[in-house]
Amino acid sequence: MSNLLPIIMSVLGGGTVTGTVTAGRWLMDERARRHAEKSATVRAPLIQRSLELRVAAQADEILQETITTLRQNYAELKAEFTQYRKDVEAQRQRDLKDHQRQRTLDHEEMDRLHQEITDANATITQLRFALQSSQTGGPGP
Amino acid sequence: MKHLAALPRSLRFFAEPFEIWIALACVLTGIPAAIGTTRPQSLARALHGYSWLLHAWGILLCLGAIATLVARWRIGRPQTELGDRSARALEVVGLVMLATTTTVYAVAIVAVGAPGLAAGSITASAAAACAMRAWIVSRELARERLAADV
Repeated sequence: MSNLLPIIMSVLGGGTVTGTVTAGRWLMDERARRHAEKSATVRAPLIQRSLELRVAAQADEILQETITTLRQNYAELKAEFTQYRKDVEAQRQRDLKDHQRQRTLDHEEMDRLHQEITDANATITQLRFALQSSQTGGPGP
Repeated sequence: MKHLAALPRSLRFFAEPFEIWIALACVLTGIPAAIGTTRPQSLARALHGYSWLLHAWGILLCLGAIATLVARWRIGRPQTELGDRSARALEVVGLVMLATTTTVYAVAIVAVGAPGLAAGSITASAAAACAMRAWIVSRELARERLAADV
C-alpha cells in the first residue's frame, strides 16, 4: 500500500491548491458582501432622510401649484365679476334711458291728449254758445 | 438558482438533494475519523503509519461537508445578490474539499482490490459529482463576476 501514498498526496495537494484558490475567491465575495451590507447600513438613514426631503419637496411643489391655481382662479373670477358688474350697469343704464324715453313719449302723448281735450272742450263750449245763441235768436255766427 | 423560488421555503435547503445527503453522510463519517475513534479500514491500510493524515482527512471531510451545508442553507434564505454569490462561492469551497476527500477515499477503496471496485466506483462517482457541481457553480460565478465588473 505504500505506493498509494504518492497518489493520495497528489490528490490532496491538488485539492488543497484548488480549495485554497476557491476559498480565496469566497473570502473576496464574502468581504464584498459584508462591505455592501455595512455601507447599506450606513446609508440607510441617509436614504431615509433623502426620501423625506424628496417627499417634502414634492409636497411643497404641490402646495405652490395649488396656490398658483387658486390665485389664477381668483383673478379669473374677479375679472368675470367686474365684467358682470359692468354689463349689469350698462344694462341698467340702457333700461333707464329706455324708461326715460318712454316716459318722455308718454308725457308728450299725455300733453297731446290734454291739448285735444282742451281743444274739444273749447269746441264744445263754442258749439254750446252757438246753440244757445241760435235758440235765443241772437246774432248768428 | 431561479428554480428556488418555485420551492416552498422548507424545501429550499434540499434544492440540490445529492449535495445535502452526501454532505450529511460525510459529516457522519468525518467526525469519528477526525477525532480518531473510528476510521475507514481501507484508508487506514492505505495510510498506514500516517495517522496524522487520517486525522487531516477526517477534518477536511467535516469542513467540506459543513461548508456545503452552510452554503446550501444560506442559498435557501432570501438575501441580496452579493450574499447569494458569496454563499455559492462557499458551496464551491465545500464541494472541492468533499471532492478531494472522497477521491482519496475512492482510491483507498479501489486499492483493496476486486471487492472494493463497487464501493470504490460509488465513492468515485460521488467525488466526480462534487467536482462537476463545483465546476458548474464556479463557471456561473465567473460569468457573474465578469458581468458585474463590466
